[in-house]
Amino acid sequence: MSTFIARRVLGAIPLLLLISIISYAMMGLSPGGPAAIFAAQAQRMSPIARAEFIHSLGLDKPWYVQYLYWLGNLVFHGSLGYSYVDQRPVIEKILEHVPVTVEMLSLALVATVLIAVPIGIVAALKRDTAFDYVTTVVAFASYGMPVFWLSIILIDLFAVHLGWFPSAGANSIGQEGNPLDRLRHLVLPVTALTVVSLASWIRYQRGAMVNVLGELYLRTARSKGLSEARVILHHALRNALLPTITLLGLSLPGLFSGAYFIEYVFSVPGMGYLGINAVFQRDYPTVMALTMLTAVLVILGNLLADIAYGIVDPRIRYD
Amino acid sequence: MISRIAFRFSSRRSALAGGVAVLIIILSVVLGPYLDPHSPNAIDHHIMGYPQAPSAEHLLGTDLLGRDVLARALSGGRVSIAIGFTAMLVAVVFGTLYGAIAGAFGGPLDAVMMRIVDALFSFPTFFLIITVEALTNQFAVGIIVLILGLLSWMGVARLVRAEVLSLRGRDFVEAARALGVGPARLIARHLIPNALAPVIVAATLAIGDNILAETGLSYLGLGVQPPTASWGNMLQDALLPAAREAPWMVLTPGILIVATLVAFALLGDGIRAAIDADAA
Amino acid sequence: MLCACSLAGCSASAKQSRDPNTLVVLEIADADTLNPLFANNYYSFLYYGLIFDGLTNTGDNFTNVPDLATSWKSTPDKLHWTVELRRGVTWSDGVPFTSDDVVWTWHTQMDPATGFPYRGQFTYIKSVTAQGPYRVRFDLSNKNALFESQGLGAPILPAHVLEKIPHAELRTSTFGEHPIGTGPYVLERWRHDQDASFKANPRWWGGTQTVRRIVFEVVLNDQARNDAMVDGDADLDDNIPPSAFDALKAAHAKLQLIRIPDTYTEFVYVNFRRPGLDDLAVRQAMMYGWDRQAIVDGLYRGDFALATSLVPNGLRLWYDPRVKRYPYDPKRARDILERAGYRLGADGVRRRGNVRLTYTLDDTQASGHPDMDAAFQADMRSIGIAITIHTIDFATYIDQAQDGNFDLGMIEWGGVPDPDQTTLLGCDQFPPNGNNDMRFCDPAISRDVDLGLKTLDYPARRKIYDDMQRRVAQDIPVLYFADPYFQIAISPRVHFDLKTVLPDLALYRDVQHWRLGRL
Repeated sequence: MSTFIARRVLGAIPLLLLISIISYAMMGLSPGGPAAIFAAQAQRMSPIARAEFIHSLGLDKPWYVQYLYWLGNLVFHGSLGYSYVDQRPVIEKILEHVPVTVEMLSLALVATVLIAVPIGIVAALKRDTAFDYVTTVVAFASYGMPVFWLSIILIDLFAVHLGWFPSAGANSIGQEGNPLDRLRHLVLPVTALTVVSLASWIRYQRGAMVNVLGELYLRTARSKGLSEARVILHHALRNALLPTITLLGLSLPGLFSGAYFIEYVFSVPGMGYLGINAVFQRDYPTVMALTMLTAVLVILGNLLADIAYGIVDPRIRYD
Repeated sequence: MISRIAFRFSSRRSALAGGVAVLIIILSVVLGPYLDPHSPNAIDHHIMGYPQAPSAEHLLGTDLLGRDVLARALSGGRVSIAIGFTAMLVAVVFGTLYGAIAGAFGGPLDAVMMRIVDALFSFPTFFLIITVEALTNQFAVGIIVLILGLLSWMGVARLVRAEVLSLRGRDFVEAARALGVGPARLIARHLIPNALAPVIVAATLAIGDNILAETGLSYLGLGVQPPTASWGNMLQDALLPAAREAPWMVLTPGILIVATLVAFALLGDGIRAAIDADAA
Repeated sequence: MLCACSLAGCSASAKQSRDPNTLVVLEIADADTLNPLFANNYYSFLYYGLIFDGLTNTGDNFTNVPDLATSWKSTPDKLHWTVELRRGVTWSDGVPFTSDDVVWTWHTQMDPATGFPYRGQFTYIKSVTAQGPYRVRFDLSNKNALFESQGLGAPILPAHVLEKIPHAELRTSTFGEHPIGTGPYVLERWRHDQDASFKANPRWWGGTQTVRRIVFEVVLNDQARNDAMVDGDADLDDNIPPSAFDALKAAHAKLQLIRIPDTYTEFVYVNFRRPGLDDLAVRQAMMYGWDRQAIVDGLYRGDFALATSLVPNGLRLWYDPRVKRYPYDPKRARDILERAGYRLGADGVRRRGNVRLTYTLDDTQASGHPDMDAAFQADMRSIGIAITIHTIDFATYIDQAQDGNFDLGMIEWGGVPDPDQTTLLGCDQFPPNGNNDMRFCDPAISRDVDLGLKTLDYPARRKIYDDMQRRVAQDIPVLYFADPYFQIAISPRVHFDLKTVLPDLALYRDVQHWRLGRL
């Protein structure tokens, strides 16, 4: 097992290198550049100054040269560089925006698992009954909603008309230290995130449970004396939760991307907001840092999922 | 085998419901112009900025430019579903070939190919979008299809590869090899057809995913361009402050998207259940 | 940290616990840096304006009033200016302000190694020298009408804090996060993309600030900002979007809603290198055939005023209404095109020889623009011009505009309270030298803008810009659309002189003297 892990980690290095090269190339080759940041005040920034700005950031060099500078900075100085937008260290900007996103997404993940796993298991137990059909349709419906549409509807209903929850922001003004206030502000965004994630978890869990039950029915038919409930609780559950662990591992990358719409609509600027703005502003250092972060998480997620499988299922051998 | 699957499919109520719903939706959007004679692009200067509530004249009301919402919903549906379907085809064709080759050859080729897939999963997809857009210097619906296809083929590749890997150990593959069947023929004639089952399911879900992806692009303004309607850009329009007093603008595209996705998902789920019961 | 009250109870007490001496302002985005040498977004200018002073400040009607300078005079040729500095001013860290600071700031700004983005605007400033601790002399190589406002108004930085840092390293210094200035406020706390609070500078030279604290809250979406104003959680929202005015008034009758003409204008860039677009007949037809009033009245609920030339309605001292107008008249548009020889083809698109009137309109992702563009497109279609809409992100847009890789492009422009348009209209301002992306050249207009920039006497300058506006309305170098209004909502407890309100950054020029009533 440990050689397996070691090989995967070593194998990850050329992969990360490949990702970084292709990312930088794509940015370098796409139209527009960071100088456009200044163009918003276009009529005031002169082309002389724009040219000087481009030169001072090394942007007049070809992309592969810039890439080597970036790589060198990362490898020899352990630095992710400075943002083109405000000249602050990229790592500082990322660390600022991480708590908001992680908070929201981990709460959503917990809520999703707590709701979806039991429903999936029960749906498998009650296969092809009304409960199964209804939950299937509801699961697909929740998956089918565009997340920003759902968010707007939640805001209009619960914040504007009913007034139960605030419509945006991380805190009420003047209430920054108050955890209950923070919780109130989190309810709607977390609900939106949970609703759209439920479907895949429910379906996944149901499917896994159905597979396990299929095997178990054969086994229990041959054994004697064990009650159905004990069989299910002790054996089926354990094996059926395995894919859930896999999904958990693969969801890690989801923690840092794709939450943009929610962050924008609910005005909780986190990693998604930082990322999308960095892309629009061609803030290469920030985009590279976030890309590498996502890549590391994808690899980590895959590795954790595979390890979990290897531990739980003795039939799988990695060597 | 097909008839058995078809029988099992039609005995599941949810699958049938999904299939029927898909048919109804597709028929409606295709027959759109005959169902509603209003032009989806006819702007009315007099009521610009003041969406009209549903009435006998406009069954689902009008939008911010005075255009008939029902007509736009139908023609938008044509565009959105066409995009979803075509992008899915791009992803499935490319992904299947890629995954089958990786799974069939195995070894270092497989390792390299799958590492590339892993790499692509972590990319900032927005750059891909604008790069393709800039290189072609057009913003046709075809480009959107290409982009969405490019963003979703990796999942299919992984799926097919996993299936092919498990198929490799099966008897019929051993037999084919023993008979001297070359790799290309093995892949094309034996592996791919047997690996198709999960691909079909993934394909029906992919249609829905692509429709959702187009709404995301439209939210950023980068989806289907005016005057062509799509459910995505109808949704974008509906979220403007001026449109918030017009619930028919907000609800129409959203409900249609949800309904379509549920229909396709039920269909795909039904196919999966029918095929799974068949597999040993 | 535990709150003993119920969820509902917490929100009610939030209002009472708000400090009445704090002004809460809502913004839609955050500043990037508070270092004036590198700031390049609107909110940065706003925030650092509270912390730093210039030699002059903006007064009523966009005049220039003393700030760190008490008086200034020039030689008759307007090339040599002597500025008397205010005595007794200290930086917020206690060190006295002297002419060294002014000289250091200007030398640093003008050094290419620093990377000051607006350096090119000040190339007419030859030298800045101290003449004693409280007097500075500016020597210019050319006269410039913007010197007193933009030149003398530029923020002054503390030499004693920054002079040890090599100019090329100023960019990455932490001064942008920990600024020290002479202004009425100091930075208290800045949580990026969330909020920024400023408290009254105890060492400020201007007396006592009646507003003791200002907190800027970044709230991205319109609904949330509306709620905050209606609930009384915020005092000022300076970014009311079009068509939201009436809804806000209806929700809270006591809110003060102010709408004044602004210094921005929206227009469509025209690429003169594209066949057909260089033909005045085509551009005239586009203006007559475009129902801009309907868009302004309908889509924008009257929150814009029609533009008539490149000088926005909001520049009251310069705007000349007596220019050629283009009221909506599609029949006239079609006649113009017919007479110019552009005949309708079978596909409804006009052509003359091998020039076909089909063009792409580039637009950025600004909210609401797809509808505006679709209306333009439909209007053009009805006079025989086919338009394809191409929404792209801002960086790509700028790139393509500069490269001349576009047909038409929708853009917002302005924000400066001056009619100067050299960079847009000058014949020598084709990219990469300037922003004349249209590649348009009319020697008479070019002469006007060059001369106007160098004329300081108001009546003479006024005549030049009247001529410019007349010619510009005639020549249609860009398709004028509309000038947005500056719309703000203010809580009834905030008091300042509404008669002298100025738009944008100038709104805050005397924020330290506003009076705040009870919550």
